[in-house]
Amino acid sequence: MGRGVGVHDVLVRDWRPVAGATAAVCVAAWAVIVWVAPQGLVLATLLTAVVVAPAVGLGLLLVTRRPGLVIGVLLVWMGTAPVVMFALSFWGDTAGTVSPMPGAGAAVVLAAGAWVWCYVPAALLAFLFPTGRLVSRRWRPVVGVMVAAAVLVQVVVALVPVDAEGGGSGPAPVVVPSWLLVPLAVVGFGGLLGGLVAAVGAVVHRYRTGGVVLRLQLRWFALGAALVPVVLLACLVSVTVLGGPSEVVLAGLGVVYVTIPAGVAIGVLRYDLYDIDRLISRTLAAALVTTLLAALFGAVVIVVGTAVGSDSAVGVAAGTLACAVVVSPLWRAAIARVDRRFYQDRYRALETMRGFVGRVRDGTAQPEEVEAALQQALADPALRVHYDVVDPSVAEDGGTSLHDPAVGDGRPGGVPVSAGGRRIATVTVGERSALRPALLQDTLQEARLALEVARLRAELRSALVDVRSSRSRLVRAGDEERRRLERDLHDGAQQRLIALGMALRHAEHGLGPDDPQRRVLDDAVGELGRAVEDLRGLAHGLRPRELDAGLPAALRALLASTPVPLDLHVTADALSDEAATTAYYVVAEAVTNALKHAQPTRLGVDVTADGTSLRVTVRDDGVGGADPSAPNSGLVGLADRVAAIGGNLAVSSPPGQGTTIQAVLSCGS
Amino acid sequence: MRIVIADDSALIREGLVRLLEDAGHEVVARAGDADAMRAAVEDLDPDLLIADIRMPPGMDDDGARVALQVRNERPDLAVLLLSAHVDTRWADQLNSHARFGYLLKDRVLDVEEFLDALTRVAEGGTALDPQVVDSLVRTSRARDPLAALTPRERDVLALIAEGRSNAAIAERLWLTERTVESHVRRILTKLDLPDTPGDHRRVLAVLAYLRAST
Repeated sequence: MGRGVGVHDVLVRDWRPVAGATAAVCVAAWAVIVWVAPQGLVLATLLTAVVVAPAVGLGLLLVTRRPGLVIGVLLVWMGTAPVVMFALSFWGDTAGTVSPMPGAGAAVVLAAGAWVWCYVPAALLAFLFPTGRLVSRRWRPVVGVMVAAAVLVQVVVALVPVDAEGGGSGPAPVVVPSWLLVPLAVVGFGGLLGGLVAAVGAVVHRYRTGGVVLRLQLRWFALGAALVPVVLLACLVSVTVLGGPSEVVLAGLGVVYVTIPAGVAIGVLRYDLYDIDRLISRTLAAALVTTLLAALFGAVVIVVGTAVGSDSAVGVAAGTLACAVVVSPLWRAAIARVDRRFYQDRYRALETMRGFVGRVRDGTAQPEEVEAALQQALADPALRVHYDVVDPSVAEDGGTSLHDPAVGDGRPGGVPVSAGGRRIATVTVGERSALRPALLQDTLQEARLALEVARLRAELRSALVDVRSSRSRLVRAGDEERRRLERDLHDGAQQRLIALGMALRHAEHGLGPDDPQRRVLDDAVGELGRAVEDLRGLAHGLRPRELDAGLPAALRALLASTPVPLDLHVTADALSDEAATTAYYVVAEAVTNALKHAQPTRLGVDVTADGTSLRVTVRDDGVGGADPSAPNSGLVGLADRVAAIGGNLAVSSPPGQGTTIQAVLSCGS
Repeated sequence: MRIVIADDSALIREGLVRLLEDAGHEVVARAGDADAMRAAVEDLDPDLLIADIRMPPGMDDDGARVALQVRNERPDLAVLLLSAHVDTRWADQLNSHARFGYLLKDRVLDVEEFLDALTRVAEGGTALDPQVVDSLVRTSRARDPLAALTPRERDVLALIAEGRSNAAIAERLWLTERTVESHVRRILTKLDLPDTPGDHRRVLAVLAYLRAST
């Protein structure tokens, strides 16, 4: 409670019929004034300008837009009350004339206290604005007492005996002794005044317990509401002390009638209440454009008509053409102007977003900065953008959202942003933006391109991270598998063969020195020995065991028998197994490649570690011109393997100037 | 000779036991892991320990590490390391100690050679697997002076590194011992090594040269 108007509150009751009926009463009363009073048309026009147009107009607009909100009805009522009051008064005046209106006597009685109902809707507005609900249930009896007091005042005033100079005519319907009437009057007036003061109290309470935006919305309204009891008190004083010059009453009421609807209107327009600002600004813009177009049309018709002669068809055609040409730019200019004047926040927000999207297009801003841009545009530092990033591992189309803290998925209170029929992001906002859904929507609409690009980029990044990590997992799994196979060969098959050989030797030992079987067994053991050699070669191909003795030793063993002179410099210790293995393969493949294709006369292999990275450089002085992207080049596989552990491979091979292959690996373990 | 055998493969262990017993040696204990091996050596004080490099509990080089620790505590113990593949790291041990051998497991199948190496190690000499020597020669940083050797001289150098005496080399290469002696002198001169008496010191010099600042 006290937080302002819930934007999506449920339609509890449809106030439109009530508002319509009240407005009909207003029109009827207006007709009575025009018809009955001598100067009726002037007064009715005055009333319309001061009271009916702002209050009834705004009320009807509100109730159309938000049928569940009682505020609109109260405004209509507020605008209707003085019209009815004057109508009753004029109607009653006919009682003393030659041709009294039917029911003129009753009108006199009712008219006496009708002014009360000019205050009551204003006070009710104070109790209920802007939510349409009381601050709490405890306020209910206060409102009840105030309404009851108003009824009592109406009754008491009607019962007051009217004297000749009082201006009234006709006797009170029932004569009540003054000893009863006076206390009743005191109770009634006291209750009414108390109710009005309480209404101001309600506004103050709401203001003090509400948030920033609510305070802004209430500020102007509060000014009008505070005037209500002051005006009533002034009226009472003027009636009882000064003999009640009606100008004071009218002036006071006039002030209330201007300030309260104005306060509501400012809250609505300036601070986005009820989300109807755009409707109003569009209406204003349309009126502006229509007027300007009509003026333009007329001017062109007259000017062309004068210049060409009396042929009006040419003038009309020219006027139509001129209007058609200017209508679109005029509309845009009118909206921009109206927005800037009446809706500065919206203007600024949209300009900020447009500027940002323009910078994204120019490449001077990153789409990922859209969150900051939105925060700035809406002056809402609590705003967060949650992208809907499809997990590429789940599905080709549709897919499901990653349930990542940074990724939105149906966030409560979030505003979805869609493009091409699918949600691209959810935006959660702070209190300020939540109360301004239209502004938020329009700003998000401007930001959509940047949001979509940022989302796609996020999706791409997440997919890339996935691919990279799965590739590196694959390489690791492959290495691990090779290592396991190599161990299995050494510890399993090879040991069994050796054990078998030993068994054969044992059998041989048991034979006599000249036994012909000795030869057979000896041959068999020889065969076994060669099988063991083969296995060892096989295992070495799977993973060079020299790596166990460190990368330097492994490289020296690898390069020991190269047919051309080779400079080997290795300054790298304590490498991770992954880095050492990859460096080994880089050197092996690069040297093999050079010997195979480059016809070098000299090779250089440099391996240096500098704490965080391992730099492997293989140079030759051969023919150069190696194409690292040729599909059958071993360099492609090499680059893949290096990239898989997060390193990169660079090949420089100008024709005739030798080849340099450099891999930079991360060497942390 | 009283021998302790340590290998986590029961097949290898039992095969070795039979071969050694056939040759008249006494296998006093067999161990399946490094801890049992240490206990057996400390309890039984054997002449020779034959240890697999890769053994439980770590399944890394536990066998070699524990064997060398034990040997440091009792310098008279001869140690022969066996492994399934070439690992030049263990050749370093020859630098500081005699009574050390390092062979690939399949050398066992050449029983005569194996028993010979065993005896050599037990008697204070060394035995280095030809493949390990080959690795050292191939990966030696001092490659250029090696290029000055004739092929025959290289053969002789490799056999020296394996820990063989001149007589053994002569027999191996079908040469007379005098020829081998002259080869050895020339090699040591070319490589600028001291011509020292005693097989073991000669081996050390050659190995130190091959590993030249490894």
